[in-house]
Amino acid sequence: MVGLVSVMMFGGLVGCDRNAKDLVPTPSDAYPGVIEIGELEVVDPDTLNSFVAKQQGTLAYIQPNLEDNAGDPKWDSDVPELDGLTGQERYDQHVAETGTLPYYFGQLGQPEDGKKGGATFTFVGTGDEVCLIVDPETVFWSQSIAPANRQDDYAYPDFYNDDGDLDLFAGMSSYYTGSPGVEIGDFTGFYTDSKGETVEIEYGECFQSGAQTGMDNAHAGRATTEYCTIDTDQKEGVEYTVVLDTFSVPLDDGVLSFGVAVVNERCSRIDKSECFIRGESLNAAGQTKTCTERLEAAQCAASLGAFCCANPEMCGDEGSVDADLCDTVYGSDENGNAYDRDGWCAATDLCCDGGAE
Amino acid sequence: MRTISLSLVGLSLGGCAYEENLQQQDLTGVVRIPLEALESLQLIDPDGTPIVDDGFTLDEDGQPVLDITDQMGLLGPLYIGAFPSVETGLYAYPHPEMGPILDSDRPGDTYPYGGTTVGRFDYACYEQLRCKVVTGRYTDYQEIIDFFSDVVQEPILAPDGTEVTNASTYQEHCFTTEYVTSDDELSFVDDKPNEDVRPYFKPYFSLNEEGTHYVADVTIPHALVVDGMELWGWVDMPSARYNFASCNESEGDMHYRYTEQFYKGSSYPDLLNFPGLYIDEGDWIVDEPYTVDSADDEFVIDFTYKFEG
Repeated sequence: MVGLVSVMMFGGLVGCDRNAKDLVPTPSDAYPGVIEIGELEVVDPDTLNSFVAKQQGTLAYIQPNLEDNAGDPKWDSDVPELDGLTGQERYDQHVAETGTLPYYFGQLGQPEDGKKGGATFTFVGTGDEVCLIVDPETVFWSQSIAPANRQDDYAYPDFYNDDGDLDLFAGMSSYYTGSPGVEIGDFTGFYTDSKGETVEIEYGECFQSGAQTGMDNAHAGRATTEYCTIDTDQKEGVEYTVVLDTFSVPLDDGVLSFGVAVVNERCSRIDKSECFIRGESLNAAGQTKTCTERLEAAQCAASLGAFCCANPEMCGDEGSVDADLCDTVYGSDENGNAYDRDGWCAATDLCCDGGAE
Repeated sequence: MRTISLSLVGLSLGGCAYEENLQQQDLTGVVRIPLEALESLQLIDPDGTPIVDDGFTLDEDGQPVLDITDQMGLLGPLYIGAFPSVETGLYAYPHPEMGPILDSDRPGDTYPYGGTTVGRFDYACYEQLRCKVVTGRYTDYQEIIDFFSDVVQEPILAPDGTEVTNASTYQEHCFTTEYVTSDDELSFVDDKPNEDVRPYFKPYFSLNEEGTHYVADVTIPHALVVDGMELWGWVDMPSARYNFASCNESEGDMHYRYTEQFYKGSSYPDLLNFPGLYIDEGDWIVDEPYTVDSADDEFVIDFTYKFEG
């Protein structure tokens, strides 16, 4: 009996040694936990298309680097309406004309203990509906572990230590309670009725629907885009504040990279998937981390299973993958011939090493 | 051992006397609707021909047939709430004070302290009856059949288009489609109202002895009690084509059975928050709200103002 009690006490004392701090990154001087971005333009989708030499009228996307590491344009700009300018030149010209950024890519550090972290920025109401969209790094999916009817695209686990989470809030700046760049606030106000009773009022206008009916104040999980439509009807010229509230910072480097934009359209008319804001996973130099663009492209192409088999360093624990997955996941060409890794790499250009083993 | 047992009993009894001093309390009283509410009610058929007027149903020649003043099915749900105050000038009728307007398409929220209803919309097994049957108005199936046949003059039709005339048929249809085995599981029929059972959580209307008012004992459960708050409300009376403004046919549970697919209807969820959105022509409204000085006092609230639109 005494022995059993002793074992239990020892076990309890060992438990005291766990404080879960290894699940939270350490704050860093290089990356503040609270940042103020400034004012963003309410940008037209076709303006975004012009930066990446994409046809006008198509679904737009944005990315942080319009030139490659060598400083060369990423896209051919022979499109007539681009006036012969490169994407970067056109971007610079647009910023000079408008005085505001058309989108923003940035990085947040872990906030100090007990404080909320996040980023804030403003935009000016157009009198019409606008779409706010934010994408925290990088890509997240739940592993398919079904014993039957396995979903090959999701059969490989995600590497979730590279994923962060931001929650999106927005409302008129006059209702915002925080101090930009210093302290993250909210859009909560209080109404006092004639009997002196106070009622809390939500002045925020960014409501996201959840999976359940009536869940109209939902937020997405890690690495997943959040978006909402703000109707600025009769509020043209009125300043709005957007809050990107840090929910979790990636554990791999302690820095949460993200991209955000305010598009001059209702959200139902633009791409709100991982494919709209690309390359948001940034390194210390502000460049997109190696191969993360391809990871996003693989998700957009519903080829995550093949991508992970071809680039296991970009995904989670290989040990939890079914042995036969990577033998069958690459699919086949148009003639029905099965691809191996090299063939798949050549056909998709989604291999980090360009196809070399 | 005996000492421990006695101590435990003593502690248990002591707990019974513990006063939590909650600010929320039940408020109980009586609501009264004048007989005139039904006597002045007018219903018409799809062609616009009057079928109910001056307190009677009318035949094809416009002659009175059936006295409707005992037809409780003509009384829609009564909504009553506790509010900081009631003001005139906001609408054409007295209306609770409102908070700030946050949306140009909606009035301010009244932020009620509590409230309840006398009767609520319930799905009565047939698509045709969505948003038309209120709890506490019917004792059995035959009463509903007769009401829609003789008063509203739109007989109940089964999914196959045949007229429902028999109470047993109605009951069997309910048991089959709603997966119940007793009337106790269906709220819209109740032959055992909670007469004199406090708190009154199954309120129902009856005509008073003087024959002047429809009265109901009612309890507003767990209302935030603030000195000087006012009790106010309205009765959602049927439109000329027997529809109710406070019910939404496109909400509620989904009925899915073979080729039948429809929502069963539901009250709007914010009736007391935005009464002005739902009060319409013909509704009876509290003109003089009851001021609550003590939660122990029993209130009497008269619905005396008819909104003419």
